[in-house]
Amino acid sequence: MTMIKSGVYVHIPFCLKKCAYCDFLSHRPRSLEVNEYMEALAKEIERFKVEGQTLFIGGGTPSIVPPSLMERLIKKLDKQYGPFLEATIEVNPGTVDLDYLKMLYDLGIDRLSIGVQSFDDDTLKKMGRIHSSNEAQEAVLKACEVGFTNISIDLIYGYPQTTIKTLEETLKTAISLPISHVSFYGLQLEEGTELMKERPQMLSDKEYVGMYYRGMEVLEASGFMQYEISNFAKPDFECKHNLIYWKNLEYLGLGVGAVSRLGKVRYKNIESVLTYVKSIEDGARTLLVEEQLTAPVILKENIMLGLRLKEGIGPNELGGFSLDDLYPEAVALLSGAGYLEQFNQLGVNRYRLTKKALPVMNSVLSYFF
Amino acid sequence: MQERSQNQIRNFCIIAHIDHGKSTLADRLLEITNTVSQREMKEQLLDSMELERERGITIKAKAIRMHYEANDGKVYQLNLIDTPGHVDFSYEVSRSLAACEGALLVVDATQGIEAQTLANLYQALEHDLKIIPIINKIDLPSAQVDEATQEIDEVLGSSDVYPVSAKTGQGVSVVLEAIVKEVPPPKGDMNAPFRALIFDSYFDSYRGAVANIRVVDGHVKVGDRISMFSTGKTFEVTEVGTMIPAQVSLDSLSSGEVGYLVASMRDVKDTSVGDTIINADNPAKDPLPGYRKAKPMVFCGLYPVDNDQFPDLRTALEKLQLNDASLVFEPETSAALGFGFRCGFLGLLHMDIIQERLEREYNLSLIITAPSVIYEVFTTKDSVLEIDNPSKLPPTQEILEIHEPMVKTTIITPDNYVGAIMQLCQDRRGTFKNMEYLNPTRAMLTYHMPLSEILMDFFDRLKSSSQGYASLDYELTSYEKADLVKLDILINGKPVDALSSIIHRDKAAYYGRSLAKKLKEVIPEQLFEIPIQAAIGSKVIARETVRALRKDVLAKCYGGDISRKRKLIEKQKEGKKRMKSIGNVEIPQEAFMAVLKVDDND
Repeated sequence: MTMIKSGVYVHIPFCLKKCAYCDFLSHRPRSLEVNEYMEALAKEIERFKVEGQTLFIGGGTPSIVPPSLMERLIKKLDKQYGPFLEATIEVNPGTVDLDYLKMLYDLGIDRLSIGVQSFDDDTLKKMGRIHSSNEAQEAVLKACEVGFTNISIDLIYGYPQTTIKTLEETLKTAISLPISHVSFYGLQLEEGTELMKERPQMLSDKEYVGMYYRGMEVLEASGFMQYEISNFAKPDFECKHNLIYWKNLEYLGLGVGAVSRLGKVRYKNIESVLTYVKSIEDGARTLLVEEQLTAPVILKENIMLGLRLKEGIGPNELGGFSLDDLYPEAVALLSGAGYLEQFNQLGVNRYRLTKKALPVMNSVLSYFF
Repeated sequence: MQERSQNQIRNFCIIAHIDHGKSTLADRLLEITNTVSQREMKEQLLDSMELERERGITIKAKAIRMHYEANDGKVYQLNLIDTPGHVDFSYEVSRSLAACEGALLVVDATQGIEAQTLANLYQALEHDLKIIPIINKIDLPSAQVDEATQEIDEVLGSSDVYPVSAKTGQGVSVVLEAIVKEVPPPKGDMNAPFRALIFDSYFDSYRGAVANIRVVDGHVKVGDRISMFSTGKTFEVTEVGTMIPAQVSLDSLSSGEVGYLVASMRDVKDTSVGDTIINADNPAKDPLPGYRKAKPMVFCGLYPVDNDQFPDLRTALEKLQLNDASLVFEPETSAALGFGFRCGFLGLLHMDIIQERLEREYNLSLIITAPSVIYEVFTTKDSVLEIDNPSKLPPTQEILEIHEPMVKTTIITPDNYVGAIMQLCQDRRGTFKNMEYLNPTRAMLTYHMPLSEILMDFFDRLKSSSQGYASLDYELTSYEKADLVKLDILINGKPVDALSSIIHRDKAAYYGRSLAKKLKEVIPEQLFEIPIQAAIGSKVIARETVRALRKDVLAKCYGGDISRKRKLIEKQKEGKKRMKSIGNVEIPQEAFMAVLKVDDND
């Protein structure tokens, strides 16, 4: 038994259908696989004693787990690690009805992350999504109806054959809905995905970045403030769970392939459902050490993650130093070229990326690596 | 065996183009004479260095002794002296030829004679070697024995050829008989003072420099004091022997024989190829003819990407030099690249091989500047400078004349590519000299051309103009005055010395534009816009801009992604480290070679 205080992530590796662009650990479940997996998950939960701060049930598509099994999972998590400051579950608009949403709400889930991706039916079809634009909008409205006040939607820009025009339509619909948070992701073409196999004509960097800036503009004008490279929230609706990642704090990951950071070690769970279920049954270890985090590694990660955030990085993340103490030349060069800006927060000197730097963040980071 | 008369010795070599089957034929000869059993036979025994194997060429000559019982019932000592198969090593070739009395001319029945083969053949004829023409690969369905015979007839005036298949062994024993019957025995004087020709040498970490020699007169044995004719340095012989093909030490080597000699010589500079070894206590008066110091023709800068590797680079070059007397280098400094070496090579292949060995065997990451020839610069101060680095060219006002090395270029090609090749040679400032036909469909073109034009990707272009069929040979003929200018490249407003080149005035504008364009292609987009300019003196003749990077971001980074994404950026950073940082601009290694890849026709 380990005693920790952290975010808790639970991975549900199942989907009805794999989306074209997705490289996450998920697949269509075999019969009884969900039951076996949920059983094992319950046992894994018992292995840790954690004071949970936040809960995030992600996937895959957690909402394809039948209501009774989901209910048991949430109750178990709550009993073992609760209460949580924030409890999020990811849902697919094509898999939830009013009853399911009500059940989640009644069990104490207070934040929904809805995988919308686009409000354009053509684009949804290209992506291989299982829902329509209307269904997505209805899912938001139903969630609101059962009482959710913290609703996030995921949107993807930069998909092949999309235009800034369709994106603008999607954004227009998004801001008209009762939501508090938007994750606005640029498409990344990943190895091994259906999309990669199609060898699509990707948008030009100029179009891609144009879409990103357009999204920032529209969302911020509607009161969604950008607090991370790809995340926008109404005031006080930032995702507390994800902030744990970006601040490089501790988190426990449960279920296949889930990553944990406990102390100075990052672990990764077994990725195969079969092996995972069997190991849990046998009482064997499922957490495998992925990496020992040494001080220089932690520093690099703090910079990599911290610069994703609007609040940037300062002495808290840099072992008491300011970024320009550690990298005077790089800071001077990047500031001079308009990629880095200094600001003052409660009397402390901090740095963050400028708007110009966000789309080229990796190149900026390499100056600190 | 030592007393075997010279009448039962035959020294010969094999002249062949790359891939025409020299090594395979050698293997069969060794097998038939039971020098090496089939089982022991490593495929193509003569090419032992890994690089040689990969490139299918033989870089260093070696010699193997065989014993062959001929049809006349006598046992003959046959010494097969291997020759390097590339134009860069033509001097080494000439020394190997000088050690022989005969040569097997191997022509691929599917390809015909190639330019280098012909060049080597002419050399062999100059050395009065008996030529035994062999047409190889007769087992292949595409073999054209008649055409090949006709070409040999055209060149040698005799169509008496030996058709063989080195692969299957067909016809090879007939060749052995021909060697015995047709190649004359050595004619040295057994009783004269000792003289031997060094035709090859290499470094052995236990014994020092080992010389491969052909004894011309007298004999040499362990304990003899020997002297090098060119340097006068003396050594005591500690070992002599022969290769069959493993080294076997003998008591002595006598007139007519081929073998190796060890004498506590520190490095291969003591055993210059072509030098004559004499007995220090009973010295011969005259050296053997033909010695000359290997003179590098092609120069380039070699710089470690990481400046900390400079001492390692020096050590590596010193080690390579132990085995390669023709490699020269001296330290130089570049404002752009830091500390490195200016290195001289016999030719482009030699340069390639050395670079590859440095990177592969010594694990160095190098920046290689474009190769340059040696220019003779006549200055207003009445001096003549030898310039092997464009950045060292004096200011224009101090230059009276620049002379550049010219080569006689021989190209053999199927006649349907003659037009394209003539165009290419003309574009490269070549002057047409001659064209003759080797057979009704194959022509031999001779051009007078600047060597610098050959260094600039000429070979690749020749191959693409002829679908790979044309072959090339060149030899230095003279220095000639030319209207040359220095072209500078400025990146981000700063001149990059390592990218300067010397070029003919008429081509400079076009070339400057192409080079700027090429550099724009190879320099990756960075956070800052990068202007690239080409200039002659203070006059900018071309300008390009690498625009600032637009997109390089990871949209998502959550708990499961952190390690992986950190490693991704670390890898990206590693990639940057392989580039050279000049000012704030990261310049990849290939940019410094871009000078070579400038297209002629766009």
